[in-house]
This record gives sequence, structure tokens and C-alpha cells, in this order.
Amino acid sequence: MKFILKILLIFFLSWAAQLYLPFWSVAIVAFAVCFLLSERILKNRFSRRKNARPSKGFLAGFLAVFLLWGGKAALTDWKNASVLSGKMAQLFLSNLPLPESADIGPLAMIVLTGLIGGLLGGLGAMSGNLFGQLVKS
Amino acid sequence: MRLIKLLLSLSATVLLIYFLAFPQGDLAFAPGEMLDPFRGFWQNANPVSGKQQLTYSFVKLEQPVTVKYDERKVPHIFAQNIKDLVFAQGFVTAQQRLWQMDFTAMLAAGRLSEIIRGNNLQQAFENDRMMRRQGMVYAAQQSLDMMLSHPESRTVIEAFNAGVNAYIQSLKEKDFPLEYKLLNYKPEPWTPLKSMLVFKYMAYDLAGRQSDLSQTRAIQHWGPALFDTLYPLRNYVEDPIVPIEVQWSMDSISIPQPPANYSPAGLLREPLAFLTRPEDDPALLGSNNWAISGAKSATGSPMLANDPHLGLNLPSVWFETQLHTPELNVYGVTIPGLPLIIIGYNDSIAWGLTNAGRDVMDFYKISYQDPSRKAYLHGGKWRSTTQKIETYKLSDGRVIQDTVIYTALGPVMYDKGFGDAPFPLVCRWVPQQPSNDLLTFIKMAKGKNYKDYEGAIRHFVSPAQNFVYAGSEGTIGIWQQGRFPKLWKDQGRFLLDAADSSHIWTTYVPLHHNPHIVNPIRGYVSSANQHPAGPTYPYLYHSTSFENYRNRRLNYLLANSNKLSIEDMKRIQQDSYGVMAEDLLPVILAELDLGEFTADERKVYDILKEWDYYYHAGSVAATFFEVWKDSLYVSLWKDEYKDLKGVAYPSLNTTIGILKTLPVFRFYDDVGTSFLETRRYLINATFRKTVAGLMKQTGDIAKLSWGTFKAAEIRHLLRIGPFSRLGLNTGGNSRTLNAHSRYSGPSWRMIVSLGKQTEAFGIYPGGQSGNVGDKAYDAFIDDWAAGRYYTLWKMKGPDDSNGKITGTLIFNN
Repeated sequence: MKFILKILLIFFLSWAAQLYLPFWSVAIVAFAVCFLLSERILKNRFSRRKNARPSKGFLAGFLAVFLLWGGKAALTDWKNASVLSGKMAQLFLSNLPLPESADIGPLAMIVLTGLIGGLLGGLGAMSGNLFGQLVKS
Repeated sequence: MRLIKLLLSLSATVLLIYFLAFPQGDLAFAPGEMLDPFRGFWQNANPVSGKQQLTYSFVKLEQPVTVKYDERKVPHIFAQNIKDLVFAQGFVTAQQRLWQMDFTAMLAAGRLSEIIRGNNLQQAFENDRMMRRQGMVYAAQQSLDMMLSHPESRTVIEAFNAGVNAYIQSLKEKDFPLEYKLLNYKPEPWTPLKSMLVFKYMAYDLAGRQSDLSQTRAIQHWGPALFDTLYPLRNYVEDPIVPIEVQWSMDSISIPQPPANYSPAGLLREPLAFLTRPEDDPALLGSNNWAISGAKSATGSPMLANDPHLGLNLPSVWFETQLHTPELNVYGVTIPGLPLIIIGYNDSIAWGLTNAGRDVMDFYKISYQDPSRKAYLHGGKWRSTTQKIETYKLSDGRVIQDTVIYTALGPVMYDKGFGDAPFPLVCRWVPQQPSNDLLTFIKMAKGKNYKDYEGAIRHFVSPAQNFVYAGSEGTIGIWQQGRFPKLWKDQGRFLLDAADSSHIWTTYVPLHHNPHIVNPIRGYVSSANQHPAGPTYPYLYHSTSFENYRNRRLNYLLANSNKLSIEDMKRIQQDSYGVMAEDLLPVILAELDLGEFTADERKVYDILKEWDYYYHAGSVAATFFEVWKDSLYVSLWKDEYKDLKGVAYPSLNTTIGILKTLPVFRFYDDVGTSFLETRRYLINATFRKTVAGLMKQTGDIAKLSWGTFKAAEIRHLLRIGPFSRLGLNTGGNSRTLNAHSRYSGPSWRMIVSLGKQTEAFGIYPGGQSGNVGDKAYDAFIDDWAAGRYYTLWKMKGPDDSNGKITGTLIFNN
């Protein structure tokens, strides 16, 4: 449950933060959420629950921002009928070994956007988790 | 352990943010900012459908304004007075084309080095210096001062400026056009000066070339007699704008006489370091326009057509708009950054432009009194100079200052510090003089008849244009309009000397003596960048690039047809018949030694022999002819011009005249061999080279169709490949009426049928939006390439329901 809660909190708070703050605010949000909801590890030393693992923190942050950025990009792209994303893919991804037959440029840009956002969220979340564990232990 | 994990994780987070928050490698932007879907490029991906309805409030407005966007994204602006109208025009033009306007103004102001980075920075800086040393900002300021001193033009230029700035202020960072994000800079406030810079950039593009220095070197090298053969003043066939049989009966003409001892040879003995390559072929920029009288048209009323040929870029050079107030209702195109309509029509009249192309840029050699450069010799007397310090703020952080000396004739463009010139050279250029060209377009928009048109164009100074006119009252006419210095023979063809007062032109051709013709008996008026008049026109003028082919084809088609319909007018604009090929090909084919042919050569010979001279996209003959002709042209001159660095070869037009009429000519010989080459040898050698070269390239004759070989491109202004349209398969070339060459061509095709019910058709190779993320960015290109037209919808009022509305903007006061 806490895992889902983290995802939801990071997703919505990042969204709100992004309306006013630069892109890296998603990492701060993920950090803060995971810090506040981090496990007090010492107490649970012998009955540690799975989601206390820092990698799980990463996953929550990653998924939340991946969905936020990738979702926003996908929605924009759908409304735009991929007019721009295909050209941006040609501009920035032309060196990647993408299959030429299918026009996957737009999808590649959406995935790239999601991945970068996800990494920011994931690393922020993992750091928040670890920091929480450290201070709360 | 946990601390280490935390530190590792934190460092990874900070490193990632650092990597994403700052520009990396060759990129000017931060990758995180670009990918952020709330701020980056995704924000420029406009929805492809949906109706837009927006309301704004501006205290600057006197009355509310309504803007309707039709389904081609053409704004139709309805206002109660011209001030509100132009305010809204500024707003909507910026809404679609802000980056392009801003970029053009920066280009003209010599400021590209502020935004261009990396490998292209040095080139941008060189270009910036040239713009500033040519006095582009000075020119824009001169004209702006004059425009601001006249209440009508002042109102227009200030209202347009306010409209553009209202749009810029409405933008958040995420809304900035994509190019700002890619180059990582922000739009500055617009200024009236920027509009003038955009206008002067057109002057630079159309009348900013000089051949004076190169021609001075050429006459020095070849001597006057040979020079006249290589660079004649007239073309080998005469078909001027004003028909050659017209007698010039003008009152009180005074033509200046050349100074007794004048000789252009000797003024420039030294080669010029900055003349590194000949000017670009000016023939690539040209245009056609014509009007037919009611007697020649199918409708019984006049018709007008215009297609200006410019460099084809994206965003497009033109922006389509309708402007409506109780006193005017005009439709047409403007150049983003300029208010009103440059080419268009209203309820009563239509007008179109082609470039006059006469040389209005001269170079004067000057001598300073002393090294302080505070005075120079001007017509035998010392005159003081002024100094202007130009500051360049380069994108890499460097700040460079350059002092430019201004004389009474213009700025010192080249000297020791720029171009390593042996002596200071002043660039004197008509567009540097104050002018209020904007009044032309204010008056034209309101024009009701021929008299209004004449009254409008008299304000137009530069770049000189051929203004074609047709009115619903039944009049057709054409004027070559602009400010032309009154010259003595050869004045301004070569370098001039500021110390000699007779070299300094001081007066201009009276406006009413400019070449013009109204309602001629032949029933049509036309222009295609050729000579304005025959040799009996009393005033002297020159250019190295007067057209000699499109004009003849156009006049031939107009003279030999009657009852011309809209469809006929379209066919003429699309006509790809090559008069140049008709002139040259029979002459060179007759010289080929058929007996020695290979199988391929035989095949190509047969293809060329059967060619109808049409540059259709599928024509293989056109490809072989073009390559052969270019090879012949270069082979003829290359050897003799090897030591004349930067001096342009005789024009292609002159070369064809020589090949046609001179069987023996010393230049046919290759001076690099001991063998005496003849015309026949040259023709055969280049033919064999052409066939072998093209066959080697493809191995298959059928693959060499003209459209594929030409591979026309419409490139983004920053030359970003994915933002450009490459590999268009079209017919035509710069010497055919459909003047589509690789990078330039008909930038706006317009046909207007006047009369009780005005009908108009038009198209340009681009789209209304300047945003590459908008489907309207290049929406017209395929239709344009296929030769289709759109019906231009001049709405009767904001509620006209004869077409589809896709968006509405309401501006409240």
C-alpha cells in the first residue's frame, strides 16, 4: 500500500511542482516523499518489510515520474498526431540503431522523456529513502 | 555502510541533475529542460484539431477587434480603425512567426553571433561584421526617423510594434518558439527599428549586391574593348518591360556628362583580398508579374498575376492575412515583421512586385587627411567623418569592438581592418538614405483606382520594384519604381573616387521619368527582371543580371493568346519552357561530331534532339542540357579567369550570346594547353564529359529525370535537416517562368481577377505557422509543388459563413 501511496504522492506533487518549478523539482519531490515515508529500519531490523529496500524506493520514484512525464508526452503527442516528435527524433536520435522500417521516432521520444523523468524521480526517491533510514535509525 | 549508500545515491542524483540542467556537448540547451514535457519541446507540439476561442484585453485599443482564423490558418482581422487593425496584425503575426521575425531582424542588425554557437560562430561573426559595415542598422534608423516624422506611418509602425510586444508579454517561457529553446535564448522586446531592419534586409537581399569592384578588376585586366564584349550593357535579344517601340518624349531631361579624363582602368591595380569568390548567381532571385486588360481576358475585366522568386525557406518568407476596417479591406501577403500587405488586392485594385535589379550600390575610394581618420577628401575638400563603435557580444562570451567610419557618402565598409583593402572603400547604397516606403503600402491598401496606385508608389524608394497594377475600373499598368541616381555613362559600374566631385552623384531620375506603361494597345503589361526599357530610354542604368529568357517566354505567351481565363493564368505561372535551351541547344547540337559517338552518347544526343525544351519534372533531356551547359560555361572561362580571383565570369546570358554569334573567339582556347581549342572542340569535349559523368553517377539514363536530379529543398532558416522539406520533385528552373531551382523559386503565386466580383487564388511553399510542431508549418508545400492553388477567401465581415472558421480571437479594449 505504501508503495502505491508513494507513487501517487510523487506523481501528483511533482505535477503540481512542475507548474512553477524547473524540471529537477521532480527529484526533490521524490526525495521529500520518500524521506517522510521511509521505514525506521532499526526498529524493524529483524522483521524488515520488503519495501524498506532502497531499490523499492527507486522503483516508486521511477514509476511515478515515468508515468507523469511519459504520460504527459504521450498525451501531447497523441493530440499533435506526432507532427513534432518524429522530427525531434530525427534530430536527436538519428545515431541510435532504431529500426528504419517502422516509424518509431515518436514512441522513442516518449520513452526517452519517460526514462529521463523516471531516473530523476527514482534517484531522488532512493536518496530520500536512504536519508530517511539514516536519520531515523 | 548506509551513509555510503546515501552518499552514492545523492551524488548520482546531483550528477544527473547537473548533466540535465546544463548544455552538453554541441547542444546549446540543457537536455532536461528540452525533454521536460511541461516546458520543453513537447509544449510546442500543437494539437492538430479543435476550435480555438480566446479573448484578450488591451488598454492600447480604441475599439474591440475580432480575428477569425480560417482552416488554412489565415487570420482575418476586423477592426474599426487602422491603429487597432495593425496592433492586432502585430499580435497575430508574432503569434505565428515570432522567432522568424526576430531572427531576420537580428540577421540584418549583424547580431547572429550572439545566438549562433560552436563551429558556425566564426562564420556568423564574419557575416555580422559585413552587415554592420554595410550600414544596415544605420539604414534602418535613417528610414525609421523619417517614418516616425509622418503621422500616418508613425501610427502604423508604433501600433504594429505594440501588438508584437503585447504578444511577447503574453508568453511564458514554456510557450517560446522551439528555436529559442534549441538555441537557448529569449525573445527581446520588439522595436520599430526591428521592423525597419526586416525591411532593409529585403533591400539587402534584392538590391544589396555590387559588382563594381570585380568589374573594375575585369576592365583593368581585359581593357575596355574586350570588356564590352564580356560585360555588355544590353542583352543579345531585346524584350524590355516597356516595349521597345515606345518613343520617349520627356520634357527637360538633363543627363550628366562623364568627366573628360574618365577611365575606370587604373583605379584599382591591386587585387582585393576580400574578393575571394564571385557573387552568388543573382539570377536565382527574380520574379514574374503581369496584368491583362479586359479585352484580353475571358471575363472582360482585368486580371493580374505575380510570383516573386526568393530563397525558399521555412518558416516561409510570406505570411497571408486579410485586413479589414470601414475604410479598407485588403488581402495578401506580408513579410513577417512588416505591417500591412506587401503584395495583394482589395475590393478595387490588385498589385504585384518584381525586382528591378538595377545597381544602386556604389563603392568610393577615399583618402583620409591623417591617421586620425577624422577627415577625408570629398570632391576636392576635406570633410569630417563620424565614428561609430560597433560592439559584438559573442555567444562564447567574447566582446569585440570595431570602429566604423561614416562619411557623407556612407560607411567605410572595407579597409585595412576589414577585408584587408589597400585603401578605404565607402559603400554608398540608396537604401541607406531616409525613405518612407511604408506609406506606399498604407495608401495601396486603401487604393481605389489607378490614380491612388500612382500616388502610393511614389513613396517607394528601395529596393526598387516593378509595381504591376490592375483595377476594376479597367486600367492596367506597370511602373519601375524606386530612387535611381542620375548617372553618366558607366558611372557606378566601376570603383569611383570620392576626391573627384564629378564622381559623386547628387541628383535622381525624376519619379515621373521612371519607366512605365499604362493601358498599352497590346493589352498586357509584364515584367520578369529584364531591362526596364530599350536603348533609347534617356537615363543610364546598369546591372549584371538582367533576365533574358523568362521575359521573352512571358511576353510570347501573353501576346499569342486571347480570352485568358484563370486557368490560363495558372498555366502561365506553371510554364517550364526554357527559352535559354531553345537559344543554345540547336547551336551546340549542330557542332557535335556524331561519327565518334559511343552508344550512350548517341542515346543522349537523340534525347536532346527530340527535347521540346520543357523542364518537366520527368524530363531527362533537361538534366543533360543543364549539366552540359554548366560544364560548357565553366570550361569556357575557367582558364582565363584563374588569375582573376573573385572576378565574376561573364554572365551565362552573355556567354550564350557569344556561343551563338561568335564561331571564333580567343576565349574558346584553353590557355593551359599548347593545343588551340575551338568552339567545336569545347562543345564536343564538354558533351562527352557530361554523358560520362552522369552515366557514372547513376548508370541508368532513365533515373536522371530533372525533378530528381534537381532535388529541390525548402530548408529551415537554421538549416536543421528534420525541420526542412527535402527532395521535392518539381519541374522548372530559374530561367523558366516556373522558376523553381534547387533552393529558390516562386515564393507566392497569386492570381487576381478583378471586376464586379473579385476572385483571387494563391499559394506559397510553406504554411502559416512558423512552429515546426504545428501541422500548419508546411501544410501548403505538397499542393504548391503539384501546381495547385487555394481560393483566397476575402471575408465580407467577421460573420461571413462562406468558409470554415477554426479559431477566433477577440481583443477587447
